[in-house]
Amino acid sequence: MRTQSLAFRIVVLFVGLLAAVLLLTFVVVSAANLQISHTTTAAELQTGERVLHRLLEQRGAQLAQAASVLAQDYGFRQAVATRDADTIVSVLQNSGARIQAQLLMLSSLDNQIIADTADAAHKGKPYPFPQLLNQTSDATGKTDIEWIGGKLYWLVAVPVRVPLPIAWVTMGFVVDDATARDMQALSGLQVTLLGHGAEGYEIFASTLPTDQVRALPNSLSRADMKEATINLGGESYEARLTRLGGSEREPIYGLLARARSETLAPFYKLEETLVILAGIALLLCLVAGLKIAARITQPLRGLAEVARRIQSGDYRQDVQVQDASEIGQLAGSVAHMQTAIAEREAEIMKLAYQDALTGLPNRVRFVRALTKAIERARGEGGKLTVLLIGLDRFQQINDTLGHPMGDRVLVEVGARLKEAVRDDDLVARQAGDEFALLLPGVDAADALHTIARIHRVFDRHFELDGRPLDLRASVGAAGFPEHGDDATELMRCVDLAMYRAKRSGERQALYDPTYRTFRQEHLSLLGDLQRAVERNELTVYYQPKVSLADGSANEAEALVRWMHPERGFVPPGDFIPFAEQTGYIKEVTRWMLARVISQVGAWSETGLYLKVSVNLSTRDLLDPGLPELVASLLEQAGLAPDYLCLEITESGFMEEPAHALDILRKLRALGVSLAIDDYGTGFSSLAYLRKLPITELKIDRAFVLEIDRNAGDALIVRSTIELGKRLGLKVVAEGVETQPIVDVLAEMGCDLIQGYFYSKPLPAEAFLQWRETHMGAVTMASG
Amino acid sequence: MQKSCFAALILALSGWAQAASVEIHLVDGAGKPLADAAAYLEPLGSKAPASKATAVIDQVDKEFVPLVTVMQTGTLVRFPNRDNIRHHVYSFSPAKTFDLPLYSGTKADPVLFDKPGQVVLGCNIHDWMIAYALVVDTPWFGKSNEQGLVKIDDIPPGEYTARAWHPYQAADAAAQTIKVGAPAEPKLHFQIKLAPQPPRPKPKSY
Amino acid sequence: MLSTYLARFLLPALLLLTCSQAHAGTLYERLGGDAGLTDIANELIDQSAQDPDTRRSFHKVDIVRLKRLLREQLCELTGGPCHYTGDTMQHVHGGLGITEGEFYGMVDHLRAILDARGIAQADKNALLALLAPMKRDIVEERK
Repeated sequence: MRTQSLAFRIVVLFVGLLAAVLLLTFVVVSAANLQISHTTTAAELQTGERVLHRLLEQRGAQLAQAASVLAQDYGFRQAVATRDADTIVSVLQNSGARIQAQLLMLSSLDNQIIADTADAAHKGKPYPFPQLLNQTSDATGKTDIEWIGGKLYWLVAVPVRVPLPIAWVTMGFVVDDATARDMQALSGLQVTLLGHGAEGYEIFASTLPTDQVRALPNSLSRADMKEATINLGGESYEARLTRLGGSEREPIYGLLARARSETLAPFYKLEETLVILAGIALLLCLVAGLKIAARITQPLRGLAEVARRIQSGDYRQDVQVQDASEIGQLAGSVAHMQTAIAEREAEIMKLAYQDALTGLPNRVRFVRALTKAIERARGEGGKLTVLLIGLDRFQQINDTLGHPMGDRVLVEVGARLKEAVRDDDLVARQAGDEFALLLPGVDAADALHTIARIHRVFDRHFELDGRPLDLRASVGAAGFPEHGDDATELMRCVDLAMYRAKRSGERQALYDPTYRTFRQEHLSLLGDLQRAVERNELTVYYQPKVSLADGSANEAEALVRWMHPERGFVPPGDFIPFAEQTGYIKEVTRWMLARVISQVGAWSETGLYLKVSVNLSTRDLLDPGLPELVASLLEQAGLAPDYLCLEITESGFMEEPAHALDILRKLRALGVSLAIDDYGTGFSSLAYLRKLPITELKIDRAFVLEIDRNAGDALIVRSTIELGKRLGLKVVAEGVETQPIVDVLAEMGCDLIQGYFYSKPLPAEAFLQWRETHMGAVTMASG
Repeated sequence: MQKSCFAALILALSGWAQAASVEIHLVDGAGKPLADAAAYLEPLGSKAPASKATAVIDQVDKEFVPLVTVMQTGTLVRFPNRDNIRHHVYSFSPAKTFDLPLYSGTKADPVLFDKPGQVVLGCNIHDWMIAYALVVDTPWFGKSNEQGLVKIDDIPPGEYTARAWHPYQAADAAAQTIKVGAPAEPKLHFQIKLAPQPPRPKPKSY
Repeated sequence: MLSTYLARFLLPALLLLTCSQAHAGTLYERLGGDAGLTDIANELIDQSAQDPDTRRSFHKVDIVRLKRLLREQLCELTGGPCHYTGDTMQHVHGGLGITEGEFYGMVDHLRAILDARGIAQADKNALLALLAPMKRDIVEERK
């Protein structure tokens, strides 16, 4: 039994409690017993005293009777009356012998000895016990205990009547150990008869052992006590002293004693019994405790086991409910708990695996089912196909009709899809507006039939509150084992396929491995990009914007260049769009801003005042912290905002115009310049264009490329420049590569030129060098 | 017999003409009248005539009745045993030592008290019973009554020694000489001091 | 069965027991010797002298002497080492007019005392048998 176990604790508690109670009882009983024995002994001694006195009285009466028999004898009386001395003595002697009196004498009324069996010479001497005759006025014999010559005598004196008393007969019987033993037999106490004379205490008779008798006078001499505890020869006695007779000077006492060991003997026996009983009780308690503990802990352990099994997922256990006790209640609760947990788990499973809105299995369930199906197919060498159905322009429906309507649409779609497929097929809601379909046993080619069925599902329009709604879907398909050999793979494939279906407008697409690699590369690229920002693998290149007016090159566009340690130079086109998609562009932009502002600041300190523009992505435009960042960077660098320009694209702006406008206004408030990049290629509205606090317009290279050959383009460019100039904006033309174009642009009134004609983007140092050379040429040309 | 009868007659005749009475008054030490006291006159110088009287000391309800009897020497004392139960009268007095068993239904012989003196009688069976007899050598005696008075009649004139006695007396009262026959009847007064009596056994009555 | 068992074994055993007890020493010893007879005599006199039915004849009697003499008598009667020094029953009770009722009253007292002392039935009867002839001398014939 472990010390921590409940059974152990119960047993220890039971046994401990009992032991404590027993100990307490023992102590209390012992104390009480000692007290009682003391009181009892005292009472016994008191009673013993009374018994002793009564015994002595009775003995006295007996002796008086014996004496009176003699005194009544006719012959004796006659002899006494007639003073027949011989007869008197002979009668006395005979009587004495018969009744065994050691002392026998006849005395006259004036207390003179008439005859004495002890010694004939005593005749005529004074009667030695006059006090004996004075005791009471009673006419019967008197008795007393007297101390005569070192011995204790019972004395009896009776009158001889004829009929008037003429003499006294005195009889004496020695009191010895036998008498003491008689008294002991009656009282149960140790009896000692002693006298206190001139030489101290003298012991006449005693029932005590000899050695203790010898020790007695010493013990007594200490006090004239009535009641005390005395020690004799190692034995402790409770004793009581009582006066029996004798004179004032020489009193005679009886000492009653009880050995303490005697009084305590039954008490010790009781203690012994108690201890044995206690031992038995404790043993029984131990056994009972173990049994009870087992009865409690066994079901508890059983329940603990049940709980453990519940924990490990077994909800089907049969929990025995034994009785209505607390343990039974616990068992009942555990059983209920088991059911409840099972139910809740089912519920959770349902929730986990079920899409709340449509009631269809959700993505998690679908993936699991797919995994299982793949396992099965792999084992059987079969096939399966996964379809991903994405609703076209569902976001718009949500925006225009509201989310509740949108939800109803989804529910309807889910229901229709379910109807449209076989029983074996699994329809699941994959994401917001995507549904996944698992077609086990179906190969990619056959899937086309299903796809067609699906499209027909959407042919019927949806009715919402009486309003018809047209919905279309794009379906991507991928198959096992051709396109992937695990669920994740297949899902990725089918995802790509669906997107392709959407973009291509075909509305269905079967996965093609070529879709893949781009993506894969992109993923690793993101990580690399992050590292690149951290490790300064990025550099800023500057492409000058040359002024057509005076040929000065005091402006430039900053462009990011990435030198990947393994791949080498990574074209911006390869990572910028991706960065934009992932939102990492913000980090890149921050980095750019920081570097550019610091660089321009450094240049300004050397007396070189150049204005550099940095590209902002759509994400950057929507970043509320951007104005603050720019402000702080400018302040850190100590650069006036005039030398910074931020470029945004049309489409980038149009994503969330209101929000972007707000940010732009804030940026403009800082004092920086703002430019619209790739103008003409995006979906901008003139209305907004009016509102934008821009200072610059950059015409996209597409329009610039053939303005020298294409009249249409030229017209556009010219009107754009006019528009810009009328709006008070600076106009920049991008992608200028040839002199003729430069001439055309100059004629049109364009302000600045950016392009390979002048320079490709260069690192800072190279840029400065180019500028120097260029400026030098310009000076020479103009001068 | 005849002689004494004659002598008695003459005496009686001579005395009768002048026979007198003597009144004796007896008191105890405190002066209170003393009953059961004996008073007697002994003629001075001559001998009193003998008599053949009888006295009775009865046993009634286990007691001697009377307690005190005064008698002349030579009196026969009868013990009638009115109780009619077993008694055993005895005395160890020197004046008369005897013991007389009495049985129910049996008449016992009388006992002759032939010596002067004090006799204390007891019963062996009932040890509280006691009686006193005073045997005197004169016919002229009496026992005092409750008033402590004794009247002795028919006393021939002459000189007498008067003595008094009580069983509880501490000591003999002094004798007194009186003259009988004088014109006035002599009145005698004796004071007898009594001694404390030893405690007597008491019969147990249930 | 049981009755035959009783007859065969128990009864003889019982008889043997009582008989053997009866023959152990003299009646004097079996009644308790001197001490026993002293107590019996004392108690008998005390009871008889207090019982209203029997106490008449104990009026003014020397009780101490009576107890002594009764003990002597019982002692001698039951084979003890005593010599009765009193008078005959006839003499003692002459003139007292003891009635039969009084006599039997005293006998009842004696019986009760013997029972109280746990005297065996046989011994009790033996003692009473010894005392029975005295009735003639004690009870006064109504003439």
